[in-house]
Amino acid sequence: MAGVLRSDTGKGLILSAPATLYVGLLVAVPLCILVAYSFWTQTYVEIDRTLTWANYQEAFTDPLVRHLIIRSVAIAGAVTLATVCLAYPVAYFIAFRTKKKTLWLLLITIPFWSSYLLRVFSWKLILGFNGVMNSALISLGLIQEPLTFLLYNEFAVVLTLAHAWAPFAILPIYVSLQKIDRSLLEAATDLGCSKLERFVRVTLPLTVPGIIAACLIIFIPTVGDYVTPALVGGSQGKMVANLIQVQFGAANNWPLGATLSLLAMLSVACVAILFVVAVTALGRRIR
Amino acid sequence: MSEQIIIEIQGVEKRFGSFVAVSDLNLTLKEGEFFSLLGPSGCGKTTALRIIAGFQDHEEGEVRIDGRTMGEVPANKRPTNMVFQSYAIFPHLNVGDNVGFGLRKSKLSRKEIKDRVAEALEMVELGGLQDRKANELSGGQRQRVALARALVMRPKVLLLDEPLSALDKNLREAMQLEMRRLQQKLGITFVMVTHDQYEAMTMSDRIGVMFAGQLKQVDKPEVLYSQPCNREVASFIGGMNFLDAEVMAENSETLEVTVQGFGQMTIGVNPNVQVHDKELLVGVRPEQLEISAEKPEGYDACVQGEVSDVAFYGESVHYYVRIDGLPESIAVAVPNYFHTVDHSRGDTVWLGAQSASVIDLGKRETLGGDK
Amino acid sequence: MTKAFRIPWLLVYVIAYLVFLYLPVLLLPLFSFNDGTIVAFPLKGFTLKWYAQLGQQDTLLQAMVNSLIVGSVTALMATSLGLFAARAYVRYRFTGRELSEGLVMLPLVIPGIIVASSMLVLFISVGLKPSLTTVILGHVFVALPFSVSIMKSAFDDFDQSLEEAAFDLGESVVGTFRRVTLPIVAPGIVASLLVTFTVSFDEFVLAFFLSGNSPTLPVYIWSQIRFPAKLPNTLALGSLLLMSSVLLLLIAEYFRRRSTQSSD
Repeated sequence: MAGVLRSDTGKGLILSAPATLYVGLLVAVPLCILVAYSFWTQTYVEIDRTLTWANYQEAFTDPLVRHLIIRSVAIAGAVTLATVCLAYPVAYFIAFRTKKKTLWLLLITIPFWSSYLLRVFSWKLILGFNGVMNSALISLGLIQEPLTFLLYNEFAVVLTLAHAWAPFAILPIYVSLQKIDRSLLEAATDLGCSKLERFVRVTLPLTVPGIIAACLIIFIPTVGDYVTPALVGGSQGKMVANLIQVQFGAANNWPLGATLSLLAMLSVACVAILFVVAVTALGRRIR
Repeated sequence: MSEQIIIEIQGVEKRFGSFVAVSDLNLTLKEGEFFSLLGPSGCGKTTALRIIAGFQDHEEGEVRIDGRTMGEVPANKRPTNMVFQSYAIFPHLNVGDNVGFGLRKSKLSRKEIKDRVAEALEMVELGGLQDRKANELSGGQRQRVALARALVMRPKVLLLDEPLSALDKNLREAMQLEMRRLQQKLGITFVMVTHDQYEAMTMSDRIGVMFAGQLKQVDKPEVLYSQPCNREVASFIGGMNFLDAEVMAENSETLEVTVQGFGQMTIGVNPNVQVHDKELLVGVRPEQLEISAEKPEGYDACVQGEVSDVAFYGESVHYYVRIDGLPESIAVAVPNYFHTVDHSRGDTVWLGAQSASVIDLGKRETLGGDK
Repeated sequence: MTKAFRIPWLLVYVIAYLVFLYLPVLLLPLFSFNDGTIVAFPLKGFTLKWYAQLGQQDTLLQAMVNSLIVGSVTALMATSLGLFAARAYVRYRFTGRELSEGLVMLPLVIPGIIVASSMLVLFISVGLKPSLTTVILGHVFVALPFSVSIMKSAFDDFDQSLEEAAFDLGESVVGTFRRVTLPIVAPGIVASLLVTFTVSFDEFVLAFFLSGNSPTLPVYIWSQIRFPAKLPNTLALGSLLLMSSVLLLLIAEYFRRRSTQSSD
């Protein structure tokens, strides 16, 4: 035993055990309980512990649930696409066009250390009917009547989240751009590529890992986002997390809430895996 | 150098999984000796040094320092100190605190520590730099601080892991002489690991040459040069032309041989060679061959050939001469006394060799036998 | 050499993007000084009264205290767990290292609502009533990836022969940790404490589910957002939080840089 403790494996396992166990237990145990709950039912204040598929039946037959899950995935997809597309040029700029990289990275990240809740709230104030945007445009004389399409719809949700996730897209893409050996780019030019060809054939393929990382780290949490749809989504922009919250809160139907959580997690996992498989396959075909 | 034994290593073996890093290491070092472990990277020399320091455990064998068996004695309780390859200067401490780091554990008073630190810094010619910050030091200064920090502990043995490899060439050469002087003044045993043959030769009393975890030969630099025990050692210490030879007759002191290309000669038996055979390998140092346009007088063997390449090194000129019947060109080094390059490619030249400069390297190994 | 002037489109885009990033963040402070209850242009005039009113609200102060407690305890716990784990990942090659590293980063990619709901269910099942304790347990979970990655980069730049040198000079294992390892990674520890504190201080969804009758500051703000009359106060509070978060993070960044620069 003493020998094991003195070996690298022993020391490594012991030092990392508290963190591993903490996260491991808090992932595994609640998941099991969630699964158990999803087979139970709620009768007023009591939990009925007879196993039943009732929650799943309800979830699958209720068009609202299906609609919300599909909309959550769709909005998350749109958010991911918008965030990555908007962020890529910025990452490119920091990696290739400026010497003050750390300053720019700091500039990009500072806004995101303020409360997420407050940033979303701020968007609500900006986009509202009597909000900052409308009042500013009216003061400038650009419009006569306040614009109504700004708030309480999918657009507001996508815009707000594209803002909220910006550094999570910029940083991984920046890292993969930064890793590119500059002589590869010179080699491409030397072999006759124009700037655009060079970007499409060398730079972009080499940043695919960063893009995948950015997509996953944005897409997964977005499907389960609660604050943004609640504040700026209105009725059109509601997502599955809002329904889950209602089940654990006002509706007080925990078994259904548990079922919805599991279904949301499952659909996230499916889409994420499909995405990675598709991108890898696409990458192979391009080469 | 006294005759007192300071380090005794017997049958030490270290394996990493199935890889044998050090196998059956036996070594005895005397007090006040400057010893170098020389070998290519990955030969196990650093592992051997770390075993002496106590940073690396070992499976078999025994290490004794100053008469004490080290066994389970941890590195912080051994009478050895180390100069690390990276120098390991503590970045959060100034020079004085770096040098005095180990003395804090001793029972010395503040004043005594201060004096010892000052003295150690004087010794490495950094007197008065106590308050200099670690990140304000140049490479050479870091090396000196590392040296002072180890020496201030007054170790029985100072271990040095490639101490000069991080320095540029001129500084390295100056430090070689300086460290040698310091070692002789202090009379402490130095054990240095290096892959640089010139560094090992200029600094050491004795050198141990290691290949693939095995200590092949331990000798004074001049013996390693004149009587290397096999082909590996011969090629690692200086340049060498290798030639096949056949033993015609032998006695305890001399061998009657026919050397490929050069013909019959009588050469001395190399006492460091373990196995002799009819199929012999011999070596000739490039600097010990004569090259001239006319057949040279007074040489035991002469052979004609054609210059295939000329390389100008500044202090010497190397000619590569192709000789009929030899698989590889023979290298000849000529000191550049008169600023002339006497032969050019394609010239026909004569090579002359003295039998005293032909070195017996023992049994010829078939290819792929001993690396 | 003359060169035709070309509009640096990329730079223009990046600056526009920066405006987009900073717009919502700078808006709150701007309107928090506005002497009016509606958040719209034109501005009415400068006032500090919204800030002054904050001091009189007891529930707000209680929420602030709650958040400070939760943040501090979370920072301490997450940083200690992260310190040891990061040291293990950087220093030792052991079976299960990659699995453990991946697992510890997992909280970053689990949707917040799922973490929140599953933890609520767990804590109720084991008989833990929603309270500050449950919030802390949840926050340590989400803060851990931050602490581990900060501590990992601190240890990454740490030359292992420094510890060996200390040991070689006669220090004990504990002494080596105290006199060499700790001082050198100290900036990393401070950075980790500040970042994990901020993560906890700003976290809403978990706290919303797990705090029960003792709301943290974001939960309090959530309850205030509904009331238009309270809007200016909320703006003032939000601005204060914003500024303190940014300040803390700048300090953390300073320490993180020191931790990576000092050991070369």
